[in-house]
Amino acid sequence: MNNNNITMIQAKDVYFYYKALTEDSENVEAINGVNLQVKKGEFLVLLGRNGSGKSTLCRLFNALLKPKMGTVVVNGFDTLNEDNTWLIRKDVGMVFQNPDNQIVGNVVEEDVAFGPENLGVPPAEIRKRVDQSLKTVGMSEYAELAPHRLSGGQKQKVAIAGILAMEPECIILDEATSMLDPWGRKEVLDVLLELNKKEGITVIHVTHHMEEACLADRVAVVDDGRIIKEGSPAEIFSDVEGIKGMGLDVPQVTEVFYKLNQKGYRFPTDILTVEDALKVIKEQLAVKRIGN
Amino acid sequence: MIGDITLGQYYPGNSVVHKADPRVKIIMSLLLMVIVFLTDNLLSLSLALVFSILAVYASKVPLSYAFKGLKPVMIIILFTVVLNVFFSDGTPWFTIWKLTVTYEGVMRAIRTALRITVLITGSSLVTLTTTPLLLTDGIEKLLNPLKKIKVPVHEIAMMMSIALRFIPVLMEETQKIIKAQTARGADFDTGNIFQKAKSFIPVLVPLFISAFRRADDLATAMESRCYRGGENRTRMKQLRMTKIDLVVSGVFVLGLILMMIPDFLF
Amino acid sequence: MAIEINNLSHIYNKETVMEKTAVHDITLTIQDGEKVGIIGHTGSGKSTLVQHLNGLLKPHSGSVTVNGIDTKSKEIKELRKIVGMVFQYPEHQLFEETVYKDIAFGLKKQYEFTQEEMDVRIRAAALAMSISDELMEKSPFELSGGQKRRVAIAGVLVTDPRILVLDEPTAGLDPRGRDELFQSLEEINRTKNTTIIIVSHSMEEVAGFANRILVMNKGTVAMDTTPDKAFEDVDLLESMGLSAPQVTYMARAISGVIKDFPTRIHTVEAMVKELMKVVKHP
Repeated sequence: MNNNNITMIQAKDVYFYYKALTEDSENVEAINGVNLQVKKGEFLVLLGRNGSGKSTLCRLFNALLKPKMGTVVVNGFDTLNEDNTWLIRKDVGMVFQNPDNQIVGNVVEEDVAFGPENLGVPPAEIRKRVDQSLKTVGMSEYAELAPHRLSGGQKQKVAIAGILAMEPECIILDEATSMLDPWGRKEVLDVLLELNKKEGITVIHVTHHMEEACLADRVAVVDDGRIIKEGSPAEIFSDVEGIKGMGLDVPQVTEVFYKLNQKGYRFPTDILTVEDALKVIKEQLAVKRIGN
Repeated sequence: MIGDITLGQYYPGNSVVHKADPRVKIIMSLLLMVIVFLTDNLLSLSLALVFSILAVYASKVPLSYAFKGLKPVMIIILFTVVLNVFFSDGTPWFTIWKLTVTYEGVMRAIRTALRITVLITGSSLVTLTTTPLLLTDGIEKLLNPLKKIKVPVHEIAMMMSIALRFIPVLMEETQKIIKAQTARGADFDTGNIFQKAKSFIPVLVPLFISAFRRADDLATAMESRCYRGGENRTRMKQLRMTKIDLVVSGVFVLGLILMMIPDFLF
Repeated sequence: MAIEINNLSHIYNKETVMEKTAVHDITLTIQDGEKVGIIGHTGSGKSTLVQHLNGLLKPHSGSVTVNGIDTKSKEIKELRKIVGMVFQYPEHQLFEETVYKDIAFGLKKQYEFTQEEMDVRIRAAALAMSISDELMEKSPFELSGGQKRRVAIAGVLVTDPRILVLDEPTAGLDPRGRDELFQSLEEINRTKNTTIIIVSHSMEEVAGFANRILVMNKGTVAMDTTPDKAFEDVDLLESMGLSAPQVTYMARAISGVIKDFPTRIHTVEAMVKELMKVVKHP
């Protein structure tokens, strides 16, 4: 066996471009040679500015788009092979940006059933999966409501349940939190973390919010169609200058220590959370007392 | 104003009418419409109205809610009533100013009003008590024989279902755009009919663009959820005729026969 | 000249089963040139409140007066010239063939200017929103999300409103887009003394821009304060579905180990300054 059992998605030298609509069209989001391996069970964040190509990249991961050059292999299936398309989409579900534009059903539970219905799952089994999926995302009590009565965060949770009912191995969120209020973002992120940690589902989350990137196992920074940096959140954000130069935010705590270091202090550069910050400050104080 | 439209809006419930098979409901309401259009007998029409009201009562949908669907067509009803009352030939009854009201005119007006009321109440009761997906499922099943002559039945049903799904979304959007353009100084109330029509361009263009964007998004989302047409598709909720359907059909057919009796007698 | 709101109440779906009080008994005054952040959780009444400022909604009781015009009066056109309103995702209202024409729309509707006068105003509004000349003849639908947003805001600025209200203006923008937008607004406020009112879910985001913060909760104004004081009671904010910046939480944590460490810090700069006082320089 090859390493299929640990690799979820493997992108090799991937190039992609959209055909320009007019000759002088701008904003043709393109992918310029991406290599990326997504491991099974990991929580990966693709971080980048709007128009950086991160959204295009994740559409290449479930065969909505096909690479113009290079290959994308999902769970052992090459996306270029038409026969694999439906196998890939069953394994890799996708939640999109606009909560309103991806709900097909007129009632929550009917929407959740849409995916398994397309897969030809027997009715009794669909019922079971729908109930379970809605329970997992905490939306059971809304099963019979019309989707337009829900909040943005709730709609996205329904969309996630719709993916779960297809029993995927991986969920991709294509800027799925960008239209939500802070409360809705938290709701969705909590569900994602739980799916990732408890059910072992691979999560690829596309965002420009650094708070969300901090929750990831690994962050890949996308700029101008390339992955320019990969690493743990702490590694990524320790480069305060670089991230800010790209037009992104870093956690305030990280920035505080970065600025102190510029003034001659020697704090570690990879502090992301209040807890970490408190720890190093306590250490400093201890040193100070000993010094006195 | 826009929020008043109840046609196509599901009213959740657990009544006999809710539980009945959508095919039964569709066929029965079609039969009701046919009878209402064929008969000219006032007693038959009144019975039809009584029967629709009883059906609404059985569905436990508040009567006022079911009749809300009438609001948008109120103008049409009033218009036809006025036309019929004042501009029908026949035996003069009384005269207001220069207009003569005829006995036949009044009768015709009442009949028309009854017809439209039954028509709207009957059809909105079907949509109020059936989730849109079940409704389109029912239509799909009923039209199934047409597949043999290559009518894309599944696609038609899916389109209807999606249209119903997006009615509230697009209505909300329309209201938002109207508000925003009003705030920029757009005026939708003054001027002649052409100026008024033109004043809606700033609303219609963004609305269409948004509708196309939504359509595109939805198509992508459906594709990524493995949608590839009706073939080999299963359904979570299977349509199955039950005892309830027998009872409902029985009651309905009885009612329909009752309605037709006066028509035959007089 | 200012915005005066007296005992304003507004109820949605009045006299039906769906009746819901959106704002209740609000009294406040906003002076010319203020930069106000109206913060609240979804459903707190903040959007309802601001839609009263240009008469899109009318008070069910109480009154709203803007520069002496009662919003219930007939002078609604005059009122809408004074109050510019930018809704959420304003780019969804673009409709003209070119950016230039779209910005011009409100101007044509509200004033009768000569071609030259209009041109001056349109270009000024574009400049204020950093829209370059080469974009002016493009179709608004060819632009990027951030550019569309700027065009839409320029379309409101073009009538030179004395009061500019923006509902969630940064939604969906990335950090750079957000920072650039705030800079533009800052500039408009500074050069023209335009009152700027920003409605937002996030106190953190607006605190750096505004000089006054109104926190809405359940249809009433729960806090009317300055950004410096807004984060004093983090527990209260959280109870209203809001949160404080990370440095505020950090300050609270540090105050547990360092006595008298100030807890109302809400900017990185302030935190750096305070830490330098207590942590020994190497």
